[in-house]
Amino acid sequence: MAEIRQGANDFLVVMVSLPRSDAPVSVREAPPLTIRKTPLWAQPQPILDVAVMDDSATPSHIAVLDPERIAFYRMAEGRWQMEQSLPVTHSRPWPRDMRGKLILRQDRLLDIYLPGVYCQSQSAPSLSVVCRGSDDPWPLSLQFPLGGFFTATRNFFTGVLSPGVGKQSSTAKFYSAAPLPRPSYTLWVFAGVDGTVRLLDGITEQVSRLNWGSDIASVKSSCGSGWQVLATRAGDNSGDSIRAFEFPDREPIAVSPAVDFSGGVTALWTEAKGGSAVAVARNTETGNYEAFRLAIACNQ
Amino acid sequence: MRLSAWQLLAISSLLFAAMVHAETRPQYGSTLRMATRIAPQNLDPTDKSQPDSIARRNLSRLMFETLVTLDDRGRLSPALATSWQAAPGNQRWQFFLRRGVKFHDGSPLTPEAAAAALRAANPDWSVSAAGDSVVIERDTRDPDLPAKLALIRNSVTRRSEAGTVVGTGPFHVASWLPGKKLFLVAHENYWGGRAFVDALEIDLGRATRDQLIALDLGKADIAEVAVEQSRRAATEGRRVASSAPIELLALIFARNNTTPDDAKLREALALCIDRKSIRDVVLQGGGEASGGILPNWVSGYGFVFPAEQNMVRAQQLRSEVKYAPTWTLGYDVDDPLARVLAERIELNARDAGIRLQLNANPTADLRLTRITLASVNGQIALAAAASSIGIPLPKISGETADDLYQAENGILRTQKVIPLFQLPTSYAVGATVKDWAESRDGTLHLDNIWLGSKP
Repeated sequence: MAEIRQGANDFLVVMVSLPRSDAPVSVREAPPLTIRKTPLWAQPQPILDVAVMDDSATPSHIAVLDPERIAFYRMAEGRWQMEQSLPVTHSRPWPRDMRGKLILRQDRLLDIYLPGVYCQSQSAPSLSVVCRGSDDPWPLSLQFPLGGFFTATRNFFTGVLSPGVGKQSSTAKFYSAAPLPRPSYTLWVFAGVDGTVRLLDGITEQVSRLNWGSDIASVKSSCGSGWQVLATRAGDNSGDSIRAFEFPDREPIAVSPAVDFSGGVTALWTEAKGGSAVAVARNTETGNYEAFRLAIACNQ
Repeated sequence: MRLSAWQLLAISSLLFAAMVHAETRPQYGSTLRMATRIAPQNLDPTDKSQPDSIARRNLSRLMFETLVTLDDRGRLSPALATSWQAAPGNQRWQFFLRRGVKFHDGSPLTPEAAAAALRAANPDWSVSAAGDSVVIERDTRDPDLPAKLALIRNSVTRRSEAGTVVGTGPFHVASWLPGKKLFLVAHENYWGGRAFVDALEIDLGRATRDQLIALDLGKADIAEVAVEQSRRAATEGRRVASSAPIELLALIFARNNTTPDDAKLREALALCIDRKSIRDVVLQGGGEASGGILPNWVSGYGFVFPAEQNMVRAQQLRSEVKYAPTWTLGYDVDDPLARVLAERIELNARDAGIRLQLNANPTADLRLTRITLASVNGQIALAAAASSIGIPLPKISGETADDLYQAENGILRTQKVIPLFQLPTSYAVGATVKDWAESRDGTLHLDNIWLGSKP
């Protein structure tokens, strides 16, 4: 807001809206949290998502989604052994920057969300995957129900939300989203296609440039405020990192050191129970896609 | 106030973050603007009357595809064919086609269409459709047949009802002014996924100097860089990317060696050329001096062919010949590098007592020629080079490096060719171009490029 004087008596008050300044410097005087990174799986084909099918701290049963199949592996004698591989059928070509998400249901079966395609695993008469064309919204969180419509031929969400955040039923096109529970509402953080980060609280939308990458996810922990946002680093894909942030108000504060990856992060999804996330990175040296489980550790 | 280590970590990370841009995941949209030196008069990849070059192949790959591709290590990858098999003896090959592929005119890729295209490009092959596959039969064993199918001249094309040649590649032609301008639009239903950029705008027949100016003015996103300009382009702060050496610059004699004196003069000429100085001064350190036809990274033995100057031996050989004719040395007047190189060679030859007369006439006694590496498959590349040199295809007895060496050595012993340099292709790439990738063999992957914001 500015008051402009013209001559002796004339003055004008001007109010201009501007986006918030880049990367507010916020520092928390508190012991940092740590992101614990556990390798899950690696393969030459792109990994879209990995679901850990068991509840143990050390995964022993995983499902690995790639663009053409879902494969189930079980840990036996210290090695992952494939139990079954089921094709994912689709009638039209996949987008070049392919994305997909696995949702582990209560009945231990899987929902598979792919661009323009929805698949379900079925256990009877034998384990199978049935796919159909679909433009249904993808679940953005299991803890805080909200869906986002994904473009069938691109790599982003359209911005249309279902059922919406409070009174807000849409935002700008985004790559990923992360919920943060508040006492009386849920604050949703969206990583926009235009490089901005948008905060939706059900009434207002705040737009910031935080120099985050395209992929974010929130995880529940027993430390800090109880929920942290994991965010990739902005920049090219030569190397990447993920760091945890908290939003005491509407400004993010880094609460962990960055955890590094040997290449660009290509997927980052919160796991079904919310306490961890799966990150996939493409190792620039080997060319392999490597999946990791990320969880927050306190006071380390 | 003292900052704790944790505070420093937080601040430094934010400073670092402020220097980079939030654009990790590829973004769709925008038109990529580029130019090329070549000015093709038609786009048919099977047209053998058009000169072969890396630029032409890269242009063709935007619109047309082959059954298989070769990566820069010579490994086969599926393209329009998803799998293939050979009958014992490697004479009969079967290629199973990818399903759901469509030509740019909307017609489906069928085994019949693929077989017709391959028959037209290879009249001496027996090609037929069989179920969902294409069967190719040769008179003799042909273990390199899949690698041959990766050559751009074996693209699967189709004549549309409008009479134009259409392909299945990631871009289709929106407008085309032969030799001047090409506007390509992303193929929405491309089997490999729609390209990130919406369109490619390509100016044809543009000199590299003009291309660099356009890049600097922000009117182009990619510019070709001549080998002698690449070091300077980089030191001036541009982002320059180069392939491995993929183009042989050589002197090729119009006639075969006929007499012992002729053989001595040819050897003397090969020995007197100071490739190292020419590379340092004329090529500005670009490329590699070479005594072989195939680049070392393809053959693995290229270093054994000497490329050093030996003026004493050259003069000795010259002195053993009583009468030495004046040879005319031809070069491409449209190639700005060629005249300078020809002049340097003429000077070296004069020091050895050999007279060369520079000549733009195509009927010169010897000619400064560029031969583009046909394939990363050494046998295919050597056969293509022999054809360019104008000698019969060498008989290659086996598939080992030694067999290839023997064949290449045989070509060099004919003294029809004097290899000089192996040159890379280079590009200056604008700051907004993301995920730039050029394979060692010069293949560009423009369908994977996306355009971000300016840093």
